[in-house]
Amino acid sequence: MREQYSISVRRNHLEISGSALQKVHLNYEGYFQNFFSLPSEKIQELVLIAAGIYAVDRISKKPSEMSSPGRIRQLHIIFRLKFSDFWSNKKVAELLIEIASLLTDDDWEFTFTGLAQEEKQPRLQDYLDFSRESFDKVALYSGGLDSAAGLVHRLISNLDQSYLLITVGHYYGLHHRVQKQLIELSKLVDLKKNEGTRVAHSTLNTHLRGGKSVRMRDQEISQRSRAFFFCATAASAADVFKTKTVEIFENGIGSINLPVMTGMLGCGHATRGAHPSFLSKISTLCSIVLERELEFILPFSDLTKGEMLSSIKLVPGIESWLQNSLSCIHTSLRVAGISHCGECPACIERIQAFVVAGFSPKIEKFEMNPNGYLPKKLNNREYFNLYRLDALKWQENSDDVHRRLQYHLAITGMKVDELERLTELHIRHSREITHVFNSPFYGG
Amino acid sequence: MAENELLDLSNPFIYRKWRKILLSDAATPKDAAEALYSDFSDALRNAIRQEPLSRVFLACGEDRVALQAAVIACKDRALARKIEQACKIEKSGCPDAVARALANLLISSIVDQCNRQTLSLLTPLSREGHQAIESAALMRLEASRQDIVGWLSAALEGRGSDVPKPSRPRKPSSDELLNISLIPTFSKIKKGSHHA
Repeated sequence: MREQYSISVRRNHLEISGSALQKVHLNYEGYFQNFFSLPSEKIQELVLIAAGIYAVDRISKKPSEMSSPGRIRQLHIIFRLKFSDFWSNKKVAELLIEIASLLTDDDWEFTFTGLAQEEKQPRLQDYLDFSRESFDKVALYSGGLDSAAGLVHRLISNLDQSYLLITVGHYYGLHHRVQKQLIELSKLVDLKKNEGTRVAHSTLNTHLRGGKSVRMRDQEISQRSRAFFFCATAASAADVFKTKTVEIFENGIGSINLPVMTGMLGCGHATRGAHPSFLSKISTLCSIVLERELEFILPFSDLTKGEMLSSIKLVPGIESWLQNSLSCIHTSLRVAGISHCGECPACIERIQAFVVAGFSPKIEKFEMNPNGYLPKKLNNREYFNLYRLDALKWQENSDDVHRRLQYHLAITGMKVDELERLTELHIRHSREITHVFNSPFYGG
Repeated sequence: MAENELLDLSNPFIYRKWRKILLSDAATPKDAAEALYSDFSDALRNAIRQEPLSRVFLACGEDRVALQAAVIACKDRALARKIEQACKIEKSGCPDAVARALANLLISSIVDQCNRQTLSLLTPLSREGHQAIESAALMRLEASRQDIVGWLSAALEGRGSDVPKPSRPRKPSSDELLNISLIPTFSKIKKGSHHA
């Protein structure tokens, strides 16, 4: 069934009406305060559009596989915006739909209507033109293991660089977690040596109020469109500081995210939040909005997560600092002292990367026994088994995995000339899996 | 970026008999694969005969709106989306070529499902034991690849009704009928009378 939503923007929140009523708070002013400057109004509107898409993606639950094979939602959003003519432009509107559809595998439709005369005042007042800090680089920073390892790698290999890190605080406590991480990072000896190395951080805090936010079970768990919101937010910082790129610290395996089953190649089963095709489309869209080139790049696309960690293992104190990063897909397990479930796909990859780098995973619920490791929950166990089976198949040079990778590249619109590089990367990754977790079969 | 990855759970009815046979001591992987193929081919032929799949195929060469409308017109949208995927893989408007890519996607999906379920159902399992089950399923599906490609090709060309009807479930013999328990029926009658 087609769902229709209408989104209007108030001072610091979005109001969603239609198939569901929802308020979305955006700490817009707090985010830009750290820059002492505002980005262009158009890029501000792109952030609002992306926030609106993310909110609708979250409050509209996908149907079950049994009731609707394919689990496709039909979502129509009407945005009330100042630059409605610009967003209605065929090329821009198509790009927005392509991005949302690539991420979620749903049918999206957007309509843009203008504002009434009295609503056309600028939403935020610009800052006085004081001299302000400048930054060489803008990067997205989630507080996860890839972000943490990627940042350290960049700081020690690009001396005298200044980084502005952007976080979208889409769950409670993320801003403080990241702030704490960065304070601890500044104490690491190797980074203190270079006076030119500078790291600043800003968070766009956001949360749903009322409506579907009351119960988690009323919300869609996949929320695949959030990567669009993150990138649009980072683009607004890139606009203020006129950087040509936005860096995304994601490992090569994670960015391609080859599903473990052929049936997961479509229908929103697997995330494409750092997929090169998504980044290419968002780069094109942001370049049109900003009227200059802006590119989202993956500096670690040739490395596995384990290799990213291994590359910084000699930095004194790095192991204990990395332990403060958060990988688990569960933002809060609601158990004191437990931050990782130890069995979701993200936790499995975290454990693997730590072991590959020669560190201790130190995950509270994770325990490797002589018979190996098996997650307790059925869906996690099934994922883990298929993950290890794929690893064996890569090492056996099985047709299955090669074919699945080729199909994945074709379906997601990637170039075939990437195939050789990605095959090599997956084979290296598969050796890590077998080394850490063994095979899923009895007797090794 | 492994976030909230959702495994493909597919249609569990296709694997019901396969699972039952796999768990019984007397049957071989070959018997299980035979049952799997029978249920899969029935489900596929049903879908081909009922769904407007040629509309999806034709819309793949058109614009996004036409394609969305064609996919939404199908009840089995997962299959409709697989046609879209096959067109992207094959980059061709030739029904036979797309049908071959689609058959590959379907066969690989079925084998992956078998792997998911085998690894959960049969523990501990040796690599050799697993390979026997996987290759039996794959070999059975491969043996009928020509049929599958032919049915899919017909569906993409709008000749889905030409595809043979799925086999009807066999009627139980008189002996089997005598052994059917009446208790479930009886309990339903009791529930009905309670509401009345």
